[in-house]
Amino acid sequence: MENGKLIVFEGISGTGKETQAKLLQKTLKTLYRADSHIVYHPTPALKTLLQVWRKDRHIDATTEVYLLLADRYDRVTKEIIPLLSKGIWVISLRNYVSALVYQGKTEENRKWIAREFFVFEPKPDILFYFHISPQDALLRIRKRSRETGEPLGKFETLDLLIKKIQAYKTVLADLPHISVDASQSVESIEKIIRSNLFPLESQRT
Amino acid sequence: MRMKRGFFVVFEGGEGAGKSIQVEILASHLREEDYAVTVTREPGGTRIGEQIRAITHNSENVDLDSVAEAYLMAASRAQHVRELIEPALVAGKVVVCDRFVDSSIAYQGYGRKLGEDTIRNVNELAVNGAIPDMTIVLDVPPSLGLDRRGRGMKMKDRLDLQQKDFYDRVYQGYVTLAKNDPGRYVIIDSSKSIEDVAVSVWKVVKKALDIRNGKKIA
Repeated sequence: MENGKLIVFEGISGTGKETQAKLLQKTLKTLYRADSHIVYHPTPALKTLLQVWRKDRHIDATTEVYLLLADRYDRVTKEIIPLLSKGIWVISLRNYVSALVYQGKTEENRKWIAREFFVFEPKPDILFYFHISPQDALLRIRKRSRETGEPLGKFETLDLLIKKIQAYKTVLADLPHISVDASQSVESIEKIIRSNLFPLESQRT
Repeated sequence: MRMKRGFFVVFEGGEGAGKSIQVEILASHLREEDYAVTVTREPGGTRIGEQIRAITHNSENVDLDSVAEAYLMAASRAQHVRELIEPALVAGKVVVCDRFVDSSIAYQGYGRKLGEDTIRNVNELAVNGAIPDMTIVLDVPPSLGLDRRGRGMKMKDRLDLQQKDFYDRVYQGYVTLAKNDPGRYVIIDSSKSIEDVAVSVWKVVKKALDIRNGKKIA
């Protein structure tokens, strides 16, 4: 049996990563008869914990890095690698790139974080980077917050969104990825993702 | 008495070595000598650290992978260094800490066989240059230490469920660390009485502080 493929979606909040992950899951099943699984980084449990500790306990960014490493290591070894080896596709909403962008304060810092993740993190078959203007992202984030009651995260301010978009540009400069203009319609983005996955599919058959 | 930068003393050793009581006795000697003292421990020392400790020591988490454990210990340490240890040292205090990075090297590096270099690399960012001025290794053979600990314990935690050879490797880890850096480590025979050990500890710490403070040593 061939291994499954690891697809990673990266980008700031409000770019529609989760929506596209769910659509891709459907596409894989209906068009390619491929089973797939969505994993989150950080896991929802750690995400909630970080929200609380950022608010109440002044958690240091370095502490966050180690918790992200522990959390991702656990998911990679217990979920991602076993799924891939069974031929199941894994759609990862974020991977170590987010830790470089959100917790990496300096170039030296980012090198250290990348080195630790590389010890266990499988290389993605494709990394899609969803980009959008920070103003549009903020509008979407606020709308989602109103609709779902989900509180705004630490990085969900205009100033920090601008900074994180810049950080993504720096981090992704040396990494193979496909840039996706996330201001387009859901359908258009889905088409872009599908067209980029065809070469992978042709390798499978 | 106040110093420009504080003094960082760490107690290390296997289970039942008597670290907790010696930390208390040393802190009390230091206070009697008018030193400002911060007493702390690992894993823990901060609210976040204590919550991480609850995960790593919970006997229900027997399936906690050793690599994930090493990252969690480092997470606790990163918070500890930044929130408590560094500020206390900058304020000129003597920081007395029950376990620090050498525990990770001994327990995860040697005990769980992840390797000394691996654990050092993992902890590089967490430690952030906070190297202890003195590390006191309370030396007690694993069999005696485990026997002592077993007698004084009501509940067993996750680390108590390890096999004896795990503790033998931890012990060898401490021996190797101390042997490779005799300038920083002081080994004290902890199979003696609490009082005798406390006298030895105070002697070496007082001497180091006197030297640091520029006092003439007889």
